Amino acid sequence: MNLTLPLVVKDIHFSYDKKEVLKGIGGSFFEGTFYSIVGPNGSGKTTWLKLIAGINPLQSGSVELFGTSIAELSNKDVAKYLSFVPQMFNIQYAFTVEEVVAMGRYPYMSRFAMLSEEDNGLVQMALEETNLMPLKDRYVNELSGGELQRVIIARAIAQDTDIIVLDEPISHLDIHYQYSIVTLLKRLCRERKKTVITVLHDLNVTMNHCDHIFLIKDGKVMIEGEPLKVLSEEVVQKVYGLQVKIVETDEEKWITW
Amino acid sequence: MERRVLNYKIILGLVLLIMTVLIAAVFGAADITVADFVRALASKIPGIGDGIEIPKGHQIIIFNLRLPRILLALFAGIGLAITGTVFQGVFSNPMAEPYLLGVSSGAAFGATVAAIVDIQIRFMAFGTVSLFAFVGAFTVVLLVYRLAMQRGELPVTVLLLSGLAVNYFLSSLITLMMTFNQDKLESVYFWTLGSFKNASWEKVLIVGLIVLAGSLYIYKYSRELDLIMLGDEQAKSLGVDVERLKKRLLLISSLIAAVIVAASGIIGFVGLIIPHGARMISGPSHRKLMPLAAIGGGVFLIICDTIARSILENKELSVGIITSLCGVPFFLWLLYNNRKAVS
Repeated sequence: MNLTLPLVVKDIHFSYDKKEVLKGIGGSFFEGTFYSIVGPNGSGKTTWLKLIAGINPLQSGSVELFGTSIAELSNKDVAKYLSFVPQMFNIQYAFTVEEVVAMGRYPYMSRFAMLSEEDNGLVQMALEETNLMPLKDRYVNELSGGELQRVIIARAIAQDTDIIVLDEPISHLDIHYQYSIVTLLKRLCRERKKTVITVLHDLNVTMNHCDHIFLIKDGKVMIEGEPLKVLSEEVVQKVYGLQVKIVETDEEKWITW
Repeated sequence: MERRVLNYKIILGLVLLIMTVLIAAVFGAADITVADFVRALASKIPGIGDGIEIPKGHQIIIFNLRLPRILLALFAGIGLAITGTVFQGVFSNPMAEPYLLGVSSGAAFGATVAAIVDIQIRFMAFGTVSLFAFVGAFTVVLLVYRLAMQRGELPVTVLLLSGLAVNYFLSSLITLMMTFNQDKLESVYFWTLGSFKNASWEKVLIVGLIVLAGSLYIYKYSRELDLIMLGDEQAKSLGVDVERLKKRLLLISSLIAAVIVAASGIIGFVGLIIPHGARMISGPSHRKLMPLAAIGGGVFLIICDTIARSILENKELSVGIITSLCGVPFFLWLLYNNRKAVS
């Protein structure tokens, strides 16, 4: 396979006040691949994700987008390569679903311009891809958690970036929404060659749906690779300190305790 | 979807504003009709008005008394509504407004000190009390920002709490100073309630310039304000330099609020109520919201001031009393009918 490499992260150290949260962490992210970053609470997953997304400034190490260091790019340029979906949050004000999704076009718009035909087309496509068409005129502060999460993902899709970074996109959702969001993310990888990077808590979703896992502990990558191959009872025991059983069926593996 | 900015709501608002100005101009002790007022205005336009004769009395009442007063109320209303909108947007919090963050208590403190120290200074249209109030308002709001700042960020809860604490502290200081200077109590108290009684063309010019220039600058960033309302991280990931923009907008808003306070005292509730009212009509998108809030603020303060100066035969009320008395029930009515859109 000859895949392009949109994102390379090298040797990141990061401290909050004096506490070092990331201790030399990095990875290469290819196109059309579904990555998950997994690890115990407090292991540095979200911190790493936010540095990759350019939300927090780097202290050391590097993040390269298509060969250019993120430090040399303007915020708006980064936003053309990479979109970010934060952990569940509430929106206080009564924007409509369509208005929020259209905000994804911001990095491409000049100051007083309105949405162009192309912008509008991408917004409509993002709404369709996330099955939000029937909800497009609803107010976002009246939506359920699963619906709101879809709106924010649709906003990221409208941003039309090669890389989509998501922080725990399914943690607060029931299994129906979990299924629909994971399926959507997989489709973005397969059909549109996106690089999707998510922080996940669910090892089973990771094992059976993601292409590549970064298992993190104490600010370092403990192990990475294809989840079905690298996840074992010993590894989980070592990272989480919990005795688990891995049950295998024909095609899938399930972790249980 | 954001497509047209100049929609029918804004055009209706502008018509309402012009009507309000006309009605406000004819209210008052002297008998002046709308026709007199329009003729007087036309007489000032070179080319058109050369032949129009205006009685001297009308001339003085319209140009020296009523028009500056109406315009000052208009600009104060615009400025307070715009700064309120900015604060509610920047902090994604419906409670935020400049007065809450120290502008009002800082101004009141400055005015109290001015009343006690008994010195006379003057800068353009502004006397000692106004100047002290301006310095007090601006200094205190900067102090509140400074107190709340953490690693270059301004967490909204810390900011609101700092503002509240500083407000209480200054109120106590004011009361303490007043206890020892009871003869000054009345004048300071009435100053804090706000009034456009001392409007002059110079004040109109300074306040108008700062309000309009500041508002236009803020309006430039209406799309960024929309994004910030999705949360700082969302705005950042879409390419907005959030912290820098916030600081700039807050600084300019505080300056606008401080100038208005210096010119007309503390007129409460406008900055809180008008943006919410406008948001219920236009939705939260700032491109439509800000023009509507500006018009709403102007109309509201002109009406309140007209009531304040003409409801009693021989006495003028403080405009702050009217803004609260009219504004709060109206606001509660709006809130009651739009509970869903707000919470």
